[in-house]
Amino acid sequence: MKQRIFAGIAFLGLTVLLSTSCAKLPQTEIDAANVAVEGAKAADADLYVHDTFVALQDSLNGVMVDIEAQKSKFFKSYSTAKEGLVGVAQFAGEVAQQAVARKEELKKEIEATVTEVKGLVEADRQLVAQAPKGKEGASALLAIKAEIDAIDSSLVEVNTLFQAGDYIVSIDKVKAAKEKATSINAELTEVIAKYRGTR
Amino acid sequence: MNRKILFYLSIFVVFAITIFFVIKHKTDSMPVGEIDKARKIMAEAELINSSNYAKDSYALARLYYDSAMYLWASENERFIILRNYDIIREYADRSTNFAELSISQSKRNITNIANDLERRKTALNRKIEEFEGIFGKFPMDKDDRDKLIKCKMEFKEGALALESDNYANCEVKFDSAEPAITSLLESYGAKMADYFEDYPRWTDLVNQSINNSRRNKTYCVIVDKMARECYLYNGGRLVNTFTVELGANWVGNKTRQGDKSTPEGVYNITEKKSNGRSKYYKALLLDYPNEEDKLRFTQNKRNGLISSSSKIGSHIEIHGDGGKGADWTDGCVALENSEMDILYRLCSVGSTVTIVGSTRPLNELLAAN
Repeated sequence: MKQRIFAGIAFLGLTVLLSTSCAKLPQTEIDAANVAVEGAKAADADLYVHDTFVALQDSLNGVMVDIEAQKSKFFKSYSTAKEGLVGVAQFAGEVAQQAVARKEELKKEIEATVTEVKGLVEADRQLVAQAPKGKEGASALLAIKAEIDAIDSSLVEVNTLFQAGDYIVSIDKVKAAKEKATSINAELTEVIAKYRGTR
Repeated sequence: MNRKILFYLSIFVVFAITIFFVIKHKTDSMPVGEIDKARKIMAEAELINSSNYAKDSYALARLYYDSAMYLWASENERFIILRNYDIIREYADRSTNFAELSISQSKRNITNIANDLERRKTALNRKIEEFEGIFGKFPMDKDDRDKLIKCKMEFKEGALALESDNYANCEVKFDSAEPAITSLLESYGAKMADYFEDYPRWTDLVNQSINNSRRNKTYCVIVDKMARECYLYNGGRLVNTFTVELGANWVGNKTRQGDKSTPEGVYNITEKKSNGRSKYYKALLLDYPNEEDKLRFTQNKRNGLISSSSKIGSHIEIHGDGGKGADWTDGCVALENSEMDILYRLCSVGSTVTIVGSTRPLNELLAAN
């Protein structure tokens, strides 16, 4: 009788012990979430959608804190953490897409501005060709021709940055080139008008 | 027998209750509150780029947070009764403190950086305007012209980067543009100071010409190269001011034919040309080279400053077809046709034309810009 009671108590203790140890760590989901966040970082989300990427990383960190909190307990349950990890992986996918979309947006803006600047430079060179030849034209146009050449060099640098995927720096460079090309156009038109006016 | 079973059962129950409360205490004392707080503050710090703007304090915050998580995971591997979360709580608190510090430092640094870059932008813009105001019409070689153009474009790129809060790129552009414009200002400032060593002589020539005009009640012309102006005096009184254009290489005195320099000195009008006799509307021919020019030319040849085959040049005129907005002549002084009409009508053969670098002192010109 005594033995049966002790065996029963031992069996009860063992059952409790085993049941608390059987909650399985969601390692597959953890790995998937980490890979997804790395994927967002590889898509330059930290650069192009910085605030959203920070929120993503914080979401993952929050779930990892929850997992450690569960590990600290006697009766563990990872069901909430599992759902959280799936959510993080999904969110990471969306963030990566947002980064790609933002990069595409910048790329299109740069390409459009480069086309515009090339058009302006071509127009400027045509105006230079229209300017009176001879020493009167040469002096006035010397500085302008140098500026047009500088814009050409700037576009080469923009292309290098663009090919390297550095869209943030190249957008400023191409905008500066556009502003310069536009002001040269106005300057040339004024110079040619002056020459024509004095003839 | 039953008393024995009850005794052992009660021991077991007491033991189980004791274990339960120990486990509960351990569970309740886990550092989740402190770590969660640190995590949230770290996220705030990352939002304002504390990893860039408060590197040291952010790095410490990150180190303590990562250490706290690592130690927590290690403690969780131990048997529950033996776990100790004290050091983890301490690390989490330190992480929070350093993260908060990094946030305040970042906000201060971002404000300081933005203000500093605004100041640099203003100063750089002023230097570029100063250079163009004073030396805009100075003859420039290709290297200096390219340097100025590159400086202006980098300034513009930096200004655009500043507008979009891209402080790192703005700093790179300004770091490149500032030394370029500073060296151009220094170099051309030195050239100008060198040029203005002749100012006392210019002043004497101008005063003599005006005094002669007053004494003889005649017209005289003063050409101020720096100002790009031509002053017509009658009887010692200024009666007209005209805008002029000069030779492309106008700084300094004329040394030889083809140097595109406008000579400096006192000349007389030897001929008046109009009705198609001038290529440039109307012209007043000057008696360049005068005796001083010839002496200087001979000395320059002797000293090897110009080649032995050089010619002194001639046919320096005041003529029309000006108004181009640039220095384009081979050394002549060009006026717009309407102004040339006035000068042509009032001047005679024999009228004095005094060409000087400047009628104003250097410090006055610099102060004006």
